Amino acid sequence: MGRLPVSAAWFLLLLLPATLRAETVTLPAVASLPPGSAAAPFFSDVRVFNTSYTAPVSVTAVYRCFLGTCPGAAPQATFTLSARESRAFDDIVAGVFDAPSSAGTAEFTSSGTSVRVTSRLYSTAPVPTVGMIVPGLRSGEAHVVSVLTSLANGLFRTNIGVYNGNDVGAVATVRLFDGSAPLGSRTVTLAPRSGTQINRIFDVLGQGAVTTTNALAVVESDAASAPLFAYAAVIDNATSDPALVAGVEDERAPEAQTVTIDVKAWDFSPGGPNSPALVLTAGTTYTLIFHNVDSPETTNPRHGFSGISDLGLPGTEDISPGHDFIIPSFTPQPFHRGTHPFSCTQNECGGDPEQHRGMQGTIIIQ
Amino acid sequence: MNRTTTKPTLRLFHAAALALLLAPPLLSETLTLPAVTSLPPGSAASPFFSDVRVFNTSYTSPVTVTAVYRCFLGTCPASAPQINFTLSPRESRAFDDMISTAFNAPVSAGAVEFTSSGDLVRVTSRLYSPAAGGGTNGMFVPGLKNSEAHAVSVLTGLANGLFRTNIGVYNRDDSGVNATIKLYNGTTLLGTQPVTLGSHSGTQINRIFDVVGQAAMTTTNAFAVVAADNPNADLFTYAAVIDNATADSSFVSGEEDVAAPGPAPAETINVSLSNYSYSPGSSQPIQVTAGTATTLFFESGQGTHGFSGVPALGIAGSTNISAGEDGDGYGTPGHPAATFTVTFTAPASASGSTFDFWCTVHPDTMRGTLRVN
Repeated sequence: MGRLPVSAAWFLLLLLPATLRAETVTLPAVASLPPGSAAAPFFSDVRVFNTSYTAPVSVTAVYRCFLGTCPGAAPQATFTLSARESRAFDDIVAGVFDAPSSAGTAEFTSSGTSVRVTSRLYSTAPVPTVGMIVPGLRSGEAHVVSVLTSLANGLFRTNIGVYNGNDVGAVATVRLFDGSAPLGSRTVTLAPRSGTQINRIFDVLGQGAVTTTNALAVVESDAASAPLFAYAAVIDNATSDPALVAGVEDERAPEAQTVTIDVKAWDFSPGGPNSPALVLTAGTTYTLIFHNVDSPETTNPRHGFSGISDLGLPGTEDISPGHDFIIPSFTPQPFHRGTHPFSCTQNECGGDPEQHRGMQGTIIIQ
Repeated sequence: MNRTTTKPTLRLFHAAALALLLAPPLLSETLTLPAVTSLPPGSAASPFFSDVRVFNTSYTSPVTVTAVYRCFLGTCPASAPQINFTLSPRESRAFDDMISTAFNAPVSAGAVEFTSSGDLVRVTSRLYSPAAGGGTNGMFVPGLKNSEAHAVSVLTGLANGLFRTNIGVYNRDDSGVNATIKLYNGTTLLGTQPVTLGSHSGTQINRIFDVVGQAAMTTTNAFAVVAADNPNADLFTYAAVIDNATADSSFVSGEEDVAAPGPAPAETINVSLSNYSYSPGSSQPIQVTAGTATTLFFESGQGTHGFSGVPALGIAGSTNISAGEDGDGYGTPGHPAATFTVTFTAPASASGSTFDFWCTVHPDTMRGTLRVN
């Protein structure tokens, strides 16, 4: 047999139909938590559908467990869907992956783009059933920065989940806000193909007393090459009914300028009363560090910061030697322009209540 | 004004026009909430409300949003109500019971379109019903981008029996469209529901199983295909699957589906009869395709024969398929030649089955088979 010239072989390759690329659809939250294994029982019923009218499609489903009693290796199942077949997998985590009392993510990989995946994650208590649709997400729905809106606490509770579908690890930072007021942040390290769920995020961040139905969370990956799936389950405390909020793409926060405020008896520098006011510019993002600079001989060198509610700035009772108070991200807005007073919160700071009363400063937004 | 002062002004004008042309256009984007409602107690079978959140992702720029309520159920206002508002950077604006409070259209339901410059805005909502024992049951309804509207979409995970399913369709285009909802359980078509949608209008078919006459069906693995009659149409589709015991609803968003292939072209198979055999038919089966209109044309090359037909497929037969030869024992010398033509469509249920047939003149010796693929 004669040899085909290399150029001819390349030409033939070019003539071949484009290779069907594998596509993975991800269910970011699946669970099989029977009664007694968790605070409430939860199960996932999954439907996998082949849109093709002519071709069967082979699907490989892999369970990425990261909560509860996880198997040693990621269980997987391969099945073939006939043309236009919708396959039902009730309680998929126990029924297909044999991993009861666990929760995680399921990935469905197939050739081409003909597969659709939907699921319902539901609880059978206090009454059967209340639940939420968890849609199958395509890779383009993972983002480096996601925002989750419509979060709630008080009459509701909110759990936040993050899944890293990449083959490299990632560090995710979850920042929670109520309006423009930062409520706190949490950093989680995610192994490749792994995730986490932070239940009762308001409690975890020490904001359990906040009542809101208009909070939001920003979930950010530390690597531009590692986009993450993010979701929130907002649960009505009276009915246990959950609603799934899927993360949508958000902007990356601008780099923060760091401003260090030296705090001592009885002055904030900058801020006042002896030092000039702290002047910030609307639209610029700042990291504010309150740093104690009392001399070693200062009596009771512990100060506080009242916070400024109009600006959404939290306060603290403790700015002492070796204990800085940090506001990681603050972006004053145009409507914040003006003068905003603040004060120390420690009556005995510097050992002199009288001097303490005068320890008041000012932030000017320009 | 003399020429020396006019020229610089013109230059300035031209430069400004050029700058405008060179500036990157900030395209407007519309996000659609396909299902919003304000149905207070007493106005519907169950009260339902929509709480909406609109968020500006920008850290630096405010954004102006125009929200238009496209009402199509209940007591709709005469014209589409709209509001304009500006979101500060990173502002999340809450619109609780938006239809009533922002659009002043209580006792109605429909869709809301949010239009803004750029792609800074995100919209989420929760559509809920107060529960009898306190609290609420509801579902998350996301703001959908135009790219999530399709001419053909599929809704999976539909259920009936312990659950009920409502299906909604919203036409975001500026022209009307007809669409068809086909409901399936497995590969079985349960029924079809046509809908006609005006521009920027929609409909919701409550209890779709009841509507297509399948109320008694119990399933948790049905699906629906919503197809517009115009392949360029953009329809948002959704299903609300509701647990009958708790009234808890779950929102299924329509995903892009492929258009159903058109009917296969009709097929004609010529069957030759000679030497006491059918060709094809005797040595190898006549192969037909389920769902395809098929015509069998029988012609005898020798003698006079017949075709029993296949009653199971509704295929008629004939007792006279003749070459018109003299001396074959049939008719008078010179009797005319006769062919036989029969057209049928084998049903999908016959796929994979093989059927016997035979010559009505020589039933023991001249036989054949027909296979449905």
